[in-house]
Formats: sequence, C-alpha cells, structure tokens
Amino acid sequence: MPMHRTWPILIAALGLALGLFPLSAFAHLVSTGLGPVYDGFGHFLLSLEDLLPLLALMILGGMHGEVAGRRAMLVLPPVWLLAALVTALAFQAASLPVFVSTLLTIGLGILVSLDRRMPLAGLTVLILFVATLSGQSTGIALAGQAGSVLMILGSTAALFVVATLVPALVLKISSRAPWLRIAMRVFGSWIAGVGLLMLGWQLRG
Amino acid sequence: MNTRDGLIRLCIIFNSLFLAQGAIAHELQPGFLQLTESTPHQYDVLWKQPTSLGQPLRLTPVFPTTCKASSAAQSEVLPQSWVWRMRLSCADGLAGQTLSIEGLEAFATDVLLRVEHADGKIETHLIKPVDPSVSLNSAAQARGRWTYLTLGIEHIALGIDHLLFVLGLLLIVGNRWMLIKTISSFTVAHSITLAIATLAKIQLPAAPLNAVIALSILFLAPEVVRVWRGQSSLTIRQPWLVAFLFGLLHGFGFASGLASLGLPHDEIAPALLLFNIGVELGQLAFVVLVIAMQAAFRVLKINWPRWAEMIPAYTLGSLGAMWTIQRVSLLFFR
Repeated sequence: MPMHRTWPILIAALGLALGLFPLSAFAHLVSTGLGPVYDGFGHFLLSLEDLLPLLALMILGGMHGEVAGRRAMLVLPPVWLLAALVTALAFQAASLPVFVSTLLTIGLGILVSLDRRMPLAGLTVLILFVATLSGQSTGIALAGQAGSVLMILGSTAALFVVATLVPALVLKISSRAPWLRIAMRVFGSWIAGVGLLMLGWQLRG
Repeated sequence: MNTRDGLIRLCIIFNSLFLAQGAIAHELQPGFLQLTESTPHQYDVLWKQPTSLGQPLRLTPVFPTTCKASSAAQSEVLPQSWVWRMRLSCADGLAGQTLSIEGLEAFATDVLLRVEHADGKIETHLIKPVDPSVSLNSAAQARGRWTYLTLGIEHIALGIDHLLFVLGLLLIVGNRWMLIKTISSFTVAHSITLAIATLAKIQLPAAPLNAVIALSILFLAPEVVRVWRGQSSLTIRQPWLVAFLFGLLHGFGFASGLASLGLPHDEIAPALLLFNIGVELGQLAFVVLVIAMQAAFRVLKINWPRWAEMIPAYTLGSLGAMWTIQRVSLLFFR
C-alpha cells in the first residue's frame, strides 16, 4: 500500500482505539480575574497536556514547509473551536480517556524528532484528528462553567496566535540555518519525553 | 447582496456582539476601601462604591465580627462613585482578620483595599471577583504598591477601545521608524494627561470622554481602508500627530482607573508611576503580538481574500460607530 494511503488509516485506527476507553478527563481552570475570554486564553496556554501535542503538531507543520504551515494555521483553530463548542454545549456528559492527550503528545513528539516527510493529505488528516480530540478535551473541561462559550472563544484566540507564530518561526529558522532543524528534532524528543513522564504518572495512578 | 458583502456583514455583527462587552467592562471603575487606624483598634473607614450609569454597584464591605461601627455612616455622591465615611472599633484589631466584599463576584471590577496601621505600616490588596476576601496583615497576600502595576495592566487589558485604537494605528503606519514614532507619540500623550488628571485631580466628565474615545476608533477605520486603496491623507502621512492628539484624550480615560480612587497625597506619585508602567506593559505586549502576527503572516505567505483583509477595518468601523452611538445616546437618555 502506498505511504500516502497508510497514514489516514493509521490515524483513524488510533482514534478508534482511543475511543474504546471511556474514562473521565481532568478539569483544570484558570482564573485571570479579567473575565471569561482571558480565562480561556490563559487556560489554553497553561494546560500543558493540551498545549504540548498541539505545539508538536505546529512544529511538524512548519517543518513540512509553507503550505503545511498554512494548513496548520488555517485548519487547526476552526476545527478545534467547532469540536470544543459542540462538546461543551451538546455533549456535556461526554468523557475522553485521560491518556488521550498523553498518547498524542508522545506520538507527535516522536514524529517531530524523526523528521520524516509526510504527504500533505496525511498531515491534514492528522491536524483534523488532533484538533477534534483536543477541542473535545477542552470542551469537556469547560462544559457547565459560567461563560464557557466565551472561554472557548478565548482559548481559540490563543490557539490561533500559537498556530500562526510557531509554524512561521519554524519556517524562518529552517530557512536561515538548515542545521537548526536538529534543534527542532531535539525539541520533539523532549515533547515525547514529557509525554512518557505523564504516561508514567497516569499509569501509577 | 453577494457572498463577499454577506461575509463582511456577518463579521460586523459577530464583532459587535462579541467585542461589545469590552465597552461595558471598561465603564466600571474599581472600588476603593481605606481603613486608617487613628488610635489603637479604632479605624476611619473610607468606602468609594463604584457606580455604573449613575447607580451604585451592589457591593458591601463585610468587616470582621469583632468590629462595630462607632459612628453613623455619612455618604456623599460623586460623579463616578458614592463615598461613605464611618468609624469602626475593632476589639482585637485587624491583624489576622478576614475582610470581604459582598457581591463582588457579580461584577467585572476590583476593589483596592488600603490599610494604614497605627505603627505606620501600610498594606495594599487588590480584591478580585474570583476571591472577594482577604486576610489582613498577611505578608503572602499583600503586594504593596505593586498592586498599582497590576491595576494598570488590567485597565489596558479590559480597555478594548484603547487596544482597538492602537490596532488602528498599527494598520496605518508604513514603516518601522513611523511605527516607533507613532506608538511613542501615543505613549507620551496619554502619559501627560494621565499625570495631569491624577496629580492635579482634573477629571473630564466620563460620558462625553468615552464618546470621543469611541469616535477616535471610528475616525481610524476609513483611514485603514484608504491605506489599502493606496490613497493618502494627513493621518496616513503623519499618524504620530493623530496618535498624539487622541492619545491626550485616551490618557484621561486611563486616569479614570486611578484618579477616581482618591488616593492619599503621598501615595499618588508611586501609584501613578506603577499604574502607567502597567498600562505601557500591557500596550507593549499587544503591539509586539500584532507585529509578530503580521510577520508570521508574511513568512507563511498567506494570500488573504479581499473580504478577509477588510475585516480589521470593518471591525474598527462597526465597533467605533456602535460605541459612539451608544455613548452619545447616554449623554441624552440616561
């Protein structure tokens, strides 16, 4: 089977496997004292378990060039917003396995550290998949909170900022000094390492 | 109506609904509660209850149970606050006691608490809606004068109208030198009027001031459109001049977050300095963010469709117009 066809199937299989473990997700809310929009902004930036896989995805997008970087910036925030809003408003009792984010962190960290070229279609499916799961996770955490819609809009604004700056930064760095790609790969291995630590804590209970 | 017009109109409606909150939040001034220990365990209380549209917010200081009023409360109505004065007798003093503001959770405003102890020690707390109570004489909670820095950052973060004006300036300026000149000009201008308003206790009436601030945003929107059309105007050629003139007015707006507190004389200078630094830090963070985003768009080589390019100008225009109408109407139909 050609490589560009195996990626979407692998990703879909991973999604199905994760969906078979309905455990509860952790809620961790940030209070900035500046209202729900800023609370949502802070929630996104300070929730490392949600931020790290998205960060890895954005680095991966930037490492794949302008088109993939643009794809990450333009696809990730709206899909994430939709997933978060639908979950928070229509599926308030929904749950996700606690280790979804952890496995995503490990997997995406490894992809960055390997620096293997992926077809654009595969990367797009990966973006859609991660955005949906991550959005769901935030939707679950914020469901039932006062001002949850505004908090989600604030989180989306933060995501849009990060999804614009990170791929652009990676592209800029890569074009100036190609050897700096190694630094990106090291960063990817750190992300995977953090994911493994988180998995260890979760398995330990 | 074609698709492009439809999308632009949708953006205007969305922006108006989503961002209009900023205007409302910005109207609210912080409350101020001062307790001065004149003789041991006897406190003079000054409570400046903030108002919204002329009505006092339902905020009530809740003193420790060991405290009893030793004089009747006297009230005075000021343009932006209701001032209450009374005397309080606390059998065990206030050290280690908890003080809270009832009803604060319901409002997007803070209360600045200042306690002057008999030994000359001063403690300052910023009481927020998320945690409307403080433990007095607690070194962990008291941030002293740094509270004013926080207040400044909060004031600019919630002052969506000020940030939109800065965004308008950023969209007009053509090069880095002009950018530095324009932002510096805005900073100098609003610092001048912030200082005048606070030190000389000059306050412009809030309603017309807010209306003119809204008008300054509306004024910039057509200029942004002119920039995209390749046209020229005085504002486009010399944006620093417009930044300076409107900056003077915005400074009076910033001052509303500090001048209305009525701080003691010896507290005004450090409070003004830290508050202004807080405002500048918030503004600088916003400017850096916008410039970084513009640079990132260039690196990613994004070819925005025409309607998407127009969104910032329409956002400025629609919100500026809405706030202007809203605030001017408040002058006549309050």
